[in-house]
Amino acid sequence: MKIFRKWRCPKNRGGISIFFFRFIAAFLVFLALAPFSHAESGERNAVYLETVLAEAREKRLHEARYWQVLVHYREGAFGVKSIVDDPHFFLAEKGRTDPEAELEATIRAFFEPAEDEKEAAVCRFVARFAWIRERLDLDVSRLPVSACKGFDAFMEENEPKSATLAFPTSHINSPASMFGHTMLIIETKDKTNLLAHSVSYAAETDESFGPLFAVKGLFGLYRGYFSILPYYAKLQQYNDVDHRDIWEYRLNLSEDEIRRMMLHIWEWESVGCRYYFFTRNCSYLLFLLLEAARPEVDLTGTRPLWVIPLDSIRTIQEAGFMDKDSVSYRPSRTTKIMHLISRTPEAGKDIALALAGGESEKELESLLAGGDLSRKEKRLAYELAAEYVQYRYTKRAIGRDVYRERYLHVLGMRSRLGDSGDGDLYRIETPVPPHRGHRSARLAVGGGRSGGDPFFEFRLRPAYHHLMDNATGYVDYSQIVFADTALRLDPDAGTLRMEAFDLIDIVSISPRNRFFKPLSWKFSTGLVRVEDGDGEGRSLVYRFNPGSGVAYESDVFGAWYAMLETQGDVGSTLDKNYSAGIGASTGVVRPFRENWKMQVYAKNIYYGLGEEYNAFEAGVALNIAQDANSALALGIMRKRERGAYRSEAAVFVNLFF
Amino acid sequence: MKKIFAVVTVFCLLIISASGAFATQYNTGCGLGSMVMENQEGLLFQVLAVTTNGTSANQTFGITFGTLNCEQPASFASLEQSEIFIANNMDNIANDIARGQGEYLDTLAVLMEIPENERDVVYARLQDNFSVIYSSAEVSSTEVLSGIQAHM
Repeated sequence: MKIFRKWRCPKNRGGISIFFFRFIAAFLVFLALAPFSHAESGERNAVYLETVLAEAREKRLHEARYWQVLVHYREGAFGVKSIVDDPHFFLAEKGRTDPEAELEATIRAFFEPAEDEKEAAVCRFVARFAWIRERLDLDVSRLPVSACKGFDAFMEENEPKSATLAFPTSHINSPASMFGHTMLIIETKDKTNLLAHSVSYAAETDESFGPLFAVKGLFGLYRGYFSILPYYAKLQQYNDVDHRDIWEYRLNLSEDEIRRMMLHIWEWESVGCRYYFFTRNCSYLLFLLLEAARPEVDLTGTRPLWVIPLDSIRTIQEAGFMDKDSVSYRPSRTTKIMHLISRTPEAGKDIALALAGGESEKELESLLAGGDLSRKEKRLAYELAAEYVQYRYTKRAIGRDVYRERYLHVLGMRSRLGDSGDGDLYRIETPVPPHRGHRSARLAVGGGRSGGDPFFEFRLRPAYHHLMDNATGYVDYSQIVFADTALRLDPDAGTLRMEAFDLIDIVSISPRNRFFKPLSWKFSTGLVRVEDGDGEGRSLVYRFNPGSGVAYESDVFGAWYAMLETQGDVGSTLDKNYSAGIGASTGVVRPFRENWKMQVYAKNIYYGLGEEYNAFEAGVALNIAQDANSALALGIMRKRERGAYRSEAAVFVNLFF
Repeated sequence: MKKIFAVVTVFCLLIISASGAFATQYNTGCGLGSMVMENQEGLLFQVLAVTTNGTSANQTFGITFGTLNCEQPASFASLEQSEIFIANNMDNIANDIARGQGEYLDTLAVLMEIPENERDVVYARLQDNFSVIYSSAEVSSTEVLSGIQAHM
């Protein structure tokens, strides 16, 4: 990790020289005094250190909540252990498991001279220092480094005033972002939001491709680090390039609390933790910072088995970090383009597409002449074109030279039409914020008839959102399901068996229009039951099923999709133990009446490898959301596989928690 | 026949699961269009990447008052905040100037200490001179800054 720390940014060159002057003066004084003070005061300081240590022991400081928070100790099955696994974060050899030893080593370290202020314990562990200093009333004049000037200068320069939790939602069509991300935004005095600092935790991955990528992310083989960047840099990344809307939740941290948090953030420089996608992720690590700000709140202790960014917002909210109505919305470029499209007449869209596509002046002139657009409509068309050229560039549809030329050309045309006088052009209506959507874990209880026999079924899904669930707060027509487990009870036979295990089941239906041409796609893998050849029962097979295609949206039908799919099954019930084939699927998904949603689908796979047969399935599903966290799901389907027909009808109650 | 089917199946699988190559994240160099670029991995990669909220190793810790995506030009003598802001937001500032409004323009006004009651007038003047300020596709952030200063 390349680290360059430039906390202090002098406003002018005078600032630099004053800073340097002070620094050099202090250094000279230090040089002059060092040889004398060392021998003389060394002994006295050693005595003082012992006094301080004795006081710390007497006060049992290592048992204080704030110490537990700062070093992130947690009571586990094998005793106390810090969440942080980087040895760099500890000063005592057994610091990770021994709070008392770590405290003592920290205090001792404050008495160690350091060549560079940055390397001094006082600076590396500036939050620990501030707290211990206060609790033990340390005489800092007796420490070799009495304060962390770098930190103080940073605070003076920036004056952090407030903090916001930012949640870039999922990418419109990229599963890599489907859980979203959370980061902290630290707003500073007198600065606009763009100049605020973003504090973000992410796994550091140098490799950009590899079959181990997923495994590494899941099982802690990457290290995660905090990074601090100007907020505009993050906006560029998430809003402009990744096309993710950002939700901002204003936190009600006081200035003291923000100061405590900044002190602790400072301690995380180049400290890395093993990154676990489900547990030790961007959202969980933010809990650690918030606890440092407000130590009386326990966020890490209440966590479930996994931490999903969207859920973490609710956790933070429920812990009292947010006041009511503290949420604001930053639409992504895609959202802006969609908004502009909805306001631009067809002739304006023609012009926007022509401009973005680099049509010749002549063609453009005829479009402009024929369009008969008002000045306002032309502005809209040019602004749409400008956004769309940028979109095409970030999607690598056009190269940089072409982009520059077209972008400036379009903006030049726009600038000649004067101020829009239409301030609400970008005032995009705020959708329902994500924390008001359903929770991400789901329990489904229900039953029905399958092949004429009754059954009861229990389904438990740890995460995250099903295509048929109410999409409020989620991406429309998307699905990301992890480890959905279904157990089916046959009351006649008295058997309880696993019906299915959807390890991963992702669907992304992205409607295409004149401006956006995304691919729709799906990917699922897990255990499913297929008919036994003799038509008697059904057996589990392991299935792998990717597919991709296109989708369109209309007011009448909702989203319509068609995909080419491949499917491979492995199981002992199959001849040669496997079958693989290709096929297609199609369907419509239509939300209606606010909280209803219907899907009609059909799918055919021809297995030409391994055991050969044709499988066909068609069905209708209906979902009626009662409120955010409960819904009624109904479905009927009929399928034919391995020569056997089966019809199934089921009703479920879905509860989100 | 069977072989052909096998080939077709495998081929479809490949098309579906791994379309596209991957590329670097940053389009480096200063000026317009130096921004973070979208990763262009295939679907399989993206599915695998579900499990890693990853970042490339060039993230920094520290309040960066340097340029993000490009080497600092030699003329970057003083780390003027407004110049750095322009260098890092060339494209969005161009957009705001052309439209005569926007958050990036507002931020620039704060950095350049333009009083609030004068901003509308300044924005209109900048808009009028857009093509002078962003004079060519190769325009540098330093040139943009002096262009803005000249027409403030």
